[in-house]
Amino acid sequence: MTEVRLHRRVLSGAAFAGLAAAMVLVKLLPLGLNAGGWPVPDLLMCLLVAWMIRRPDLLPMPLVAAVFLWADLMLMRPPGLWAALAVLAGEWLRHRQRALRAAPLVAEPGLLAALMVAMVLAHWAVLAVLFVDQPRLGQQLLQVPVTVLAYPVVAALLQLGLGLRRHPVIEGFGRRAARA
Amino acid sequence: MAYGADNGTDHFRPVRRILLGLVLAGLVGLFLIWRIDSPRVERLRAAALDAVIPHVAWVMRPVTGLAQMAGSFQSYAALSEENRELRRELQQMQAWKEAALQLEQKNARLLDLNNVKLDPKLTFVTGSVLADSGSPFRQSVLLNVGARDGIRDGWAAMDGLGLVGRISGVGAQTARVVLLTDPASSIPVTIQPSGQKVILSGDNTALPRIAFLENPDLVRPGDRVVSSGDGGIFPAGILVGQVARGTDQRFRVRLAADYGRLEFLRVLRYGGPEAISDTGGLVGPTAALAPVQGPPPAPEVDR
Repeated sequence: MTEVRLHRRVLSGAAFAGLAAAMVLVKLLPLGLNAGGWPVPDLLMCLLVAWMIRRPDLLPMPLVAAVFLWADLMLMRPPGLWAALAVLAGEWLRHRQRALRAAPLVAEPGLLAALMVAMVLAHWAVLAVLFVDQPRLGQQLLQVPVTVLAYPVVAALLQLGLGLRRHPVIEGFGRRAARA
Repeated sequence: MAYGADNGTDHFRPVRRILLGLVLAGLVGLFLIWRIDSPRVERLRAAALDAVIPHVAWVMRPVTGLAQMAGSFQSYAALSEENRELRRELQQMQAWKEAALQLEQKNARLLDLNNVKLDPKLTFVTGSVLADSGSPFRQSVLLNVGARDGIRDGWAAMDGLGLVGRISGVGAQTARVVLLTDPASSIPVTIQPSGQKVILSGDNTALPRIAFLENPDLVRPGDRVVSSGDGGIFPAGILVGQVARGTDQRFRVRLAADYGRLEFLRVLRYGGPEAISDTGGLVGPTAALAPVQGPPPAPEVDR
């Protein structure tokens, strides 16, 4: 049984890394080179939140850190800062997985929006304190609604394409109840 | 048991917390190092891109091609009209071409009479665009030529017509071109015909701003903007675009390069103007022994 679980773990880790790589590479396609276009959704954040809500046990924290750091390097962001925030957001979600199992489906985009606003604010504040040149806060926050709009697509892909479903809500009390 | 996987890790909670702390410290540490010593980390970034992008170019190129085809497919609807318009424009161009040829011959004759030496023609390396910055707040593209092809930081990149940007960050097989529209881009340009020297700085919009304009009365929308070569980093006289007035009533530049279709870019080889190091042979040896008057020699331009 452990072999099966290990197999599943490795496979799903590879799936996460592959999906993330595809999302970053799509962003890197030299298509919209005219400056001042529409903001594009941050698909990587959608992927992280959707996966963490569904199966946090299949997404180890070091993998999240590695993938987001790689994305930072690829996407010309200050390396490490956004990755650290993403890891924190992911662990925050992992910590609340029990409560999230019972949350309605509609709450997920709201959760993503709240998390992302907090992350953008923190990112902006740190860069502002360290006097790094950055775009205006409003411009950065514009990404949030676009990302929320893209969330259902990513969530559906995970749920239907990869078969990642939330664990059923646990009836009863205490940790032992989950093992029933 | 099937759903109890998250509980199985309870024993490892302290370990996990330490691991989280270590990972966070590592990430934040890298960020701080980047803030303190940016070039070193940017070199790491260039190396990371260099390791990845050339190997996935075989996937990205077809996808880019397909997307561009889809984009041009939309314009098929207006094909006949566009065709007619192009024919009309071509006819006008023929007239212009004739005029230009005559002028070129005349110019050559005059230059010959005056015995003028112009700059030797700049040679260039052509690269194709592999990827863009991937961020809405950074305007740059990645070319498939790099240190292997002799590309160096600071060289100018242009498409067939106008200046596009400058090289910033060179890997072995790739080089990044910071476009003129990037907020970090500032280049010295001259506005023709008034000859005013200004700085063209990008601000993430399609039309970069003109900064440090001395006399706005001498500038009119439609004036040509060319690179001025000040600072010795850029070759002078490359077409940049035309002056336009933005919606905010500031002077901006409509770029001559077609930013919608950057596929191939020319990187101009440019070593900078040669520095004049001594006073020449006119001043005799006695004068050379005397203490040097005047400003010390200018420091080498960092390239």
